[in-house]
Amino acid sequence: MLSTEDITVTLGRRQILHGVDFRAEAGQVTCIVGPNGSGKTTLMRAITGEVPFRGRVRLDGDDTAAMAPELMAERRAVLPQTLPMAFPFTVLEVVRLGLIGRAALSAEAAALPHRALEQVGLSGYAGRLFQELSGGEQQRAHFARVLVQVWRPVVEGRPRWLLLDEPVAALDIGHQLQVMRIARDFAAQGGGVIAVMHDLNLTAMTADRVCLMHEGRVLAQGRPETVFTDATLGHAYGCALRVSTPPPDGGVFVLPQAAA
Amino acid sequence: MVSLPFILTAGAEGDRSRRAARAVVLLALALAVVSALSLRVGASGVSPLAVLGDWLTGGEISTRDRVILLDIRLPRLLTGILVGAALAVSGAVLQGLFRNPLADPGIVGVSAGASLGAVMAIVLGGFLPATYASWAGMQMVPLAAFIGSWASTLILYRVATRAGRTSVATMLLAGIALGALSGAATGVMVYLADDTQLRDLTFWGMGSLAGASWTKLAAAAPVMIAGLAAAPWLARALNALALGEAAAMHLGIRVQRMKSLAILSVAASVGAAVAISGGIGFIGIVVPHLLRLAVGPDHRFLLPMSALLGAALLLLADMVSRVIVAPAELPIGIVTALAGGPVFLWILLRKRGLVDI
Repeated sequence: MLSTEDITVTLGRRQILHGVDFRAEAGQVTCIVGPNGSGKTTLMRAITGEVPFRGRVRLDGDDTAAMAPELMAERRAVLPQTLPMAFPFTVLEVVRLGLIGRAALSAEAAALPHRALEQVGLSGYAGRLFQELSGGEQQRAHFARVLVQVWRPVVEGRPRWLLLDEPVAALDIGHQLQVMRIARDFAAQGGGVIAVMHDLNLTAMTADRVCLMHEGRVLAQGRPETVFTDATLGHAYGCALRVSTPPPDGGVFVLPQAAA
Repeated sequence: MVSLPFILTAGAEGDRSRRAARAVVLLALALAVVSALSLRVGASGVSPLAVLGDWLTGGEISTRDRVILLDIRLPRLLTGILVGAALAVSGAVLQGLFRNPLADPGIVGVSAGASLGAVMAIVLGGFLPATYASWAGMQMVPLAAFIGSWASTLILYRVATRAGRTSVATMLLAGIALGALSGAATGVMVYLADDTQLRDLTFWGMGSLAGASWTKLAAAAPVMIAGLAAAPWLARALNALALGEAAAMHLGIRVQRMKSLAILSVAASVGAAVAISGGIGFIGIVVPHLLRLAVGPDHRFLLPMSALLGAALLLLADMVSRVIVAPAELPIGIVTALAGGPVFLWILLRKRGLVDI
């Protein structure tokens, strides 16, 4: 389980997060959603240790503030939003940066990057220069790098975690579904996935659990069908939204309503 | 160590490590050849091979030949190798640290800081009682230069980097400002210097290996070797840093510790190199740039290859400087600037669309 206890983040004079208690279980996909400026990405950055915070983040019982970076890197991988690349690395060289610790020493080390590239649909791209890829292709190459880093969802009975900050932001619908399917598979094999998302319908399709943020606080947390209601979403996003349950799979669907 | 079958087989697509391993071997051979040539070339016609032959067959070796080879050319060769390696590797490390191919110790004011330290040691050392003065001259110059370049690098990094991101424009402009400040302070020192010191300083400022001696090498070599020795620990971290500081941290790198080590390594290498050979420019930018074009930016290969190519190029430049106006000598800094300046402009033109300057 990954949980935060009373997380407060203040940047400059502005308080971005007000005592957030967030919880995600291994074996599930947990999505953090909310309007712009609601604190989703800041919550993710507190979890990954990129911003200073008050409170506590626990990764399967261990306080992350007390964990060494190399141990953290063995237990969770982070996919950030945008990453400018400084030097002309090939796609394969970028994906290989994920080969650290155990993965680098394993017998599969040479095959792992190629397998990850195939998973994200970039198998023919190993020799291309990373800087020459499109935004969406770069995003997927980084996803492959992150997959290499936590290549086994469970190690010695302990789950590993994928922390994804808007993993589908630059992707077309086909690749959006592909990335979310990989995330689902990772969770199905016992790993934990936390993703910051914008697309409510993709979230409803993928997530086992949703955390809806609003003005630096958790507005609602739980299964998508309990969190996604006309009233809660309308309050969070400040616009008229209707949630319906279309057949056949029984999932929820969020439909924007034209202003009256 | 890389094994022979590893070097000879072709790598997977996108994997340049085998090509890099081959290039390391080639560069090592090239350095050996250039080193041998460097022992051969000089105002006097002494041939190291002939002397070696005489020595092996028990023949007589003249004192003159012995002095020229062992006390002039050999320390000069070793100084050239160390200085070339130190300048090229510190260029590559600085570029990795700033995530920018334009960072060069000469351009961003690190060498100027080292010069200030060295000049202060030379001039202020002259005010010490004679017993301490010679000691200060030998031992203090590399150390003072190290402190000067360390302070410059630290200030430069603090000014140019905010929240883990380096602005190219700020880095280059801060480098100009730091260079100007160090230059002004160096000017004050030059004003205080006596006539002998003045002549030393002028010649030294243009960069030269001509003054190389075993004593100077003994003082500077440990500092340079310490700086170079940090490189293997930096390589993987600099690769991860290419993704930015946060991503490097997520890959398990202790970013803060790594940055401090990189800055110390650059300061030690540049400081001692400047102390012993003066202002030799452009090695630090040209060498890593050429190598990135040839084998890619992986620092595990880039750093050792920079050491080899930097050493070989500096020895070549030194030979040119010895031969071109023989029996006189052109300061080597002039040779590297003449060759390196245009290459720097060419890099700028190539990067114009990619890097915001």
